[in-house]
Amino acid sequence: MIKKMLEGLRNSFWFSALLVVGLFAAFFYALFAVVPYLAIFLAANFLFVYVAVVYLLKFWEKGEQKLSNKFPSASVIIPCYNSAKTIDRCVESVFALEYPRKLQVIVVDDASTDATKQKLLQLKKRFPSLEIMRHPRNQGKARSLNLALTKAKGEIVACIDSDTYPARDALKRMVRLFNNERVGAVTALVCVEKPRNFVQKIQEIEYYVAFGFWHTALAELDGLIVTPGPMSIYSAAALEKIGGFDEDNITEDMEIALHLQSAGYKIRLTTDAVVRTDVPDSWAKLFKQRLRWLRGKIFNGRKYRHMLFNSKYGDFGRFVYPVSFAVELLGVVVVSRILFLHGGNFINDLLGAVGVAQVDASLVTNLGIYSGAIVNSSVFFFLFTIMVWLYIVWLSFGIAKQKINVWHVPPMVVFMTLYSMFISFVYFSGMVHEIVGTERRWENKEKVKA
Amino acid sequence: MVSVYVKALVITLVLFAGNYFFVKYLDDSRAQDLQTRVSDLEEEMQSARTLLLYTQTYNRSTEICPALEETTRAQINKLYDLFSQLQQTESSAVLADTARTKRRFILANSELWLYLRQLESVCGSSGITPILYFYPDQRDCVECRAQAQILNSVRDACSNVRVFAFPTDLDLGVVNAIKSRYSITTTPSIVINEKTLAGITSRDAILSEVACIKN
Repeated sequence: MIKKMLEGLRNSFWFSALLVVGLFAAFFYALFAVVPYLAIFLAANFLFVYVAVVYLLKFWEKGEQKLSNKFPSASVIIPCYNSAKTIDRCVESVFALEYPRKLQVIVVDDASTDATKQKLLQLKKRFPSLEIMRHPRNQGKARSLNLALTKAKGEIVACIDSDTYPARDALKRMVRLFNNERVGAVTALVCVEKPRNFVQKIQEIEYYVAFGFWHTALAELDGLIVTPGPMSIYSAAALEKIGGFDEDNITEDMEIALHLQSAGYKIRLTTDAVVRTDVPDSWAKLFKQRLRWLRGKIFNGRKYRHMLFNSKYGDFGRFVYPVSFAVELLGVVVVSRILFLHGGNFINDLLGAVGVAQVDASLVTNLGIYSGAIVNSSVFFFLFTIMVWLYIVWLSFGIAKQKINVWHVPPMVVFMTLYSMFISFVYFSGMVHEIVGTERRWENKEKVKA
Repeated sequence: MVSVYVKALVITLVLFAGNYFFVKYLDDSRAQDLQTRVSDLEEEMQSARTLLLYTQTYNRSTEICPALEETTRAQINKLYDLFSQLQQTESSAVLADTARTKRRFILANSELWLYLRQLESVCGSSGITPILYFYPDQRDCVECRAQAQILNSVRDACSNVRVFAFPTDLDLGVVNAIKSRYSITTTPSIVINEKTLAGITSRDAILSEVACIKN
């Protein structure tokens, strides 16, 4: 009984949230008591700029990629769960793909409880070659992919999320990067499908930057950490060699990329191939999605720790992989420092204002009595970081062949400021969840992306 | 061939060094400006002290006292304005050390207050009602900022009121002596006409103590 209650507590969001706040306060109180804030800011700023400069140099070095003229046989796998709203368009996009050879298209219904099954039956009538597989009970994306792999006949396997819509020429462009047998996977430029609200507009910019600029630079270093779930294509031979997808992983797209890197395969990218995907439309859904991504990253970090600082894995092991953790950790520290400072000031101001109100209530509305934002000359160190960031955002829009217009400015400002804080907070939450051992799972209500 | 990591390190170091020297230059300029203003004030105070000494020595109070009172008011005003500038520079200049300037400021403040007392004894009355304001330097304090706002408004309203600000936690001999004289144990505290008012004091309470001559 008590064991069951404790287990329940471990999996309770509020219990975890309380732990997040408690550990957050204790750890950073101790850290900030010892390390001056300027040292933290400057160290973080130095690392951010250094990493950005490394990736910019690699980005500028980018040359023409050697393309293959072969178009091997290909299978497309679409795992789906409660995808009634999107599966029609997804399957239509797949059958509309321009490819010189006939595609094998397999949809795996992971025991959907909505109208997905009926939709698939209708699609089967429109596309008789569509192969439908079904799990009797929900088993997760990785198992769905592995089930379809048992039926896949292509030399190339394309895995596509059920809320993703590849451009007609995407597959054709991607396949040409399989120019030697060491290429295990090829990824594309993932873009947000019709961003409607502010949260999606921020993600639109984030996707351009992440899958445009960063992935281009990472691919130059043979350092891609993830083969994005919306759409990535794999060599069937490579998948067979590494044993397919890890079924106990909540970020199987990251795990497979790390597995391929670990086995010595290369992962290529072409930003000429565009795939559009639906993204979370609220902060709550986004938080859940990113919590899963980041927990997956920490979990996989433990699983593939042998690659960290290991020059056997080239730039990936030496630099890309360890730095990806360092940047995020330092981001957490910086954001925590800012929150800690302003949080402390806020509490102090609040308590002080109560005392002031007792003497002169009119002073409570006088802004002069409250702590101002900490604007000191250290901001000049950040000006350059902001300029580098702006340049990277501008480059990313260019990669995606998009023009920046005035409507991009508000989400861009949030993306470059508060959004980083949000992501750092998610990362910290992810760390705490991993420490306390909350159950890892795909959230059914989340607009799933891997 | 130089690796991309080394190239990036060199570029980042150059950028940071450039940034560092730029920030250092800005901070030093601000600190230097503050130092110059404190020095100017010290010089003016020295001149006023010498004049007071002359007045005492040759008993010329009738002719010189009005001028001395006028310059003292101006000096106290300047010093109080410097107090805001000092606080601003201290929180914004991360690469400049303002501790020395701060000590000079506090000493000048104490000296000016003592000089005012001397002026009163030589000239009879200075026409100035001093308010001593005690605040913590090392701790954030909303009540103290509120008290400073109240004092600013009283000073703006009353031509006879001048404020002397003393940090209580910097362990300076003269400030400790003043604190001890007025039994200052908490911040904010103010002293008006030898009367200590601990905690935040309202505008009305201050006005009732200072016999305000409206501007």
